[in-house]
Amino acid sequence: MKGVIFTEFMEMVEQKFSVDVAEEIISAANLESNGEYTSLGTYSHEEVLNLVTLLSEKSGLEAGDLALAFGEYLFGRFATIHADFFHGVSSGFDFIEKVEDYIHIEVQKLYPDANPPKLTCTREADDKMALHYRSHRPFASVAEGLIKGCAAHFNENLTIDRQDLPGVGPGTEARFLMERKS
Amino acid sequence: MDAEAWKKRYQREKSARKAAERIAEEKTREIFFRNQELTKLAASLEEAVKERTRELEKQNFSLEEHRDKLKNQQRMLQSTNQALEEKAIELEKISRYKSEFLANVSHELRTPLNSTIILAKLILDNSEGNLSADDLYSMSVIYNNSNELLEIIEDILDMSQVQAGELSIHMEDVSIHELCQGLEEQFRPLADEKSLAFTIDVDTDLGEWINTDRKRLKQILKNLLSNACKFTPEKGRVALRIFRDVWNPDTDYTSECLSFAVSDSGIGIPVDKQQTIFQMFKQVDGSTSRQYGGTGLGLAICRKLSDLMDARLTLVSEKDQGATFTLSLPPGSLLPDAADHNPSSMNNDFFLNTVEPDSDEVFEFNQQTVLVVDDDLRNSFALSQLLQKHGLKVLLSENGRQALELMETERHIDLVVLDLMMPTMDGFTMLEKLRSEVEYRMLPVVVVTASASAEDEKRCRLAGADDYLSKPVEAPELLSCLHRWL
Repeated sequence: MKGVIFTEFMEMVEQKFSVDVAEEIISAANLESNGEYTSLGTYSHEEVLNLVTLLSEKSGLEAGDLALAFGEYLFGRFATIHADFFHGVSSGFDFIEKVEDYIHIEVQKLYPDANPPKLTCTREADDKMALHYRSHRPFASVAEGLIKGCAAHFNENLTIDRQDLPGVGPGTEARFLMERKS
Repeated sequence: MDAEAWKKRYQREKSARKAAERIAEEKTREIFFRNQELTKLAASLEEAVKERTRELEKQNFSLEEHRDKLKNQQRMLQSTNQALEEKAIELEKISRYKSEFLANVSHELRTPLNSTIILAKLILDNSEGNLSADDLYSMSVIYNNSNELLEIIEDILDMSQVQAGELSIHMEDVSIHELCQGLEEQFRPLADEKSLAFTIDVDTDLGEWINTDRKRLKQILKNLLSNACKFTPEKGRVALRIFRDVWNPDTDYTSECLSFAVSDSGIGIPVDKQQTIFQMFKQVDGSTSRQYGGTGLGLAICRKLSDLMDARLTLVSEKDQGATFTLSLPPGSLLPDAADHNPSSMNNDFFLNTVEPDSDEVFEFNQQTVLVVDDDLRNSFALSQLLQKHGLKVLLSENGRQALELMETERHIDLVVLDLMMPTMDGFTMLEKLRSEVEYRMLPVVVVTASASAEDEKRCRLAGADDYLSKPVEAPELLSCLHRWL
């Protein structure tokens, strides 16, 4: 998994919790990488799951909620780091539609070994869209958080109906039915 | 360092890391695009190479096609060339056959003509005075027609020799005076007959001698004069003028040459026919031949002979205004008039028969014995009649072998008149055998033959002939020749 997920996660822990909490979960996780993350590297997604679990234990918050919150946070960060992705994009649905065929391709330009999730969008109406998420990693919650972050970015009131699908394990496949309320 | 300071330092390190990460990502992106460009470039290069290869293949193919086409053309050219060569060989063969045929025909025609002319002349002489005027007139017609026929045969033979490239030119010194005398003698009677004013003018600034082919020059002038007489109506005018002329008036370089202008006041030649009359078998039009006769060979031969002599034959004429044919001999023909010129030099070894016999001379012999060897009995008869009439004893043999046999018993032979083409033993063989015997080494032998080529004459002389006459022989010519050797 791309290093940016790890650096942003640690960033969020430092911001939302504290530097100390961040140090604690890294020490406790006993990571192969020792938590020496850079956005350029690639690390096992087990490590981030491990860290989320430890944070959940530490904070008493649900791991799923944490993942969702991280997704939301991550989208905000992307909007900051990669402002160029947002040029000429006026709605959340437009942006989500661009992820598979534009952003993931841009990612692969930089990191040919990256293995992003497979996203399929179906626009059912102007204000309705279905997004099918499938990955070998159990990050459906992060995805949901990202969708929320996206709606927030575009200042949209979006209802998200998440249907979990079996995939290769819990959280690896889901269908999101989204409806934009005016 | 307190916690606050550590925190600041941590934030600084983190910012530095992020900056490094950003730079790295930018570089990576740049590398990606560079890479993409390179890939594109490689692909376009590859495509260009492929395109170039395709083009080269195409060019190669078209070159091969072109080469094949050229090869084909070359093959075709080769076969055409071969066909042409074969055709040329065939044509050469045909041409040779034609020449041989004409030479043979000419020989076959001359032989009977020879006896006809001699006998006609003998009868015309009317030595016994018992012939009527009608008989004599008939005989003169036979005599004249035979001579005319002979001229036609000679024209045809000349033409075939010219065409076969067998005719050569023999340059010698010729006396203008003698030339004019010969022409005067020949054409004066003809002119008188038609009441033509006939003149021969030689410009006074000319020397006596010129260098040219005597026989051919005479042949051309005779032809031109004979035409002039033929095509000029009675009481007209025919003139031959010999004068210094300008050789090549069309160029800057000029020199003097010798011109013979034959002019007449005859029917003339229309301008549009002036080139065609120099072609073989061409006359002014079909009616010319009907009205005036002739084969249409004369002028063609004149032109060919003139070319062979490097001379120039030109014509100025208008219809009904007469014509002037001018033969210009090249500058080399004019000789400085040298006093030490030896007239006998004209009696060239090979061309004794060109000497004009003095027709006025009367040849009387003293009962010397002449052996006539000829397979043609008409000829033998004619010859023996002529010779006996002039006081010679005549013995006859039909071929070389018979003659040699006869000579074993008949020792008193003073001269041999020898034909060449005979069965059993021909004249050449007989000559060789004769000359191989001491007894006959000095015996005069005069060859009289219908084979008219210069080559034959040379062969005869090499085989040992003392003199050579070609048939038909004029009686005075033969008698003059025999007189020299007896």
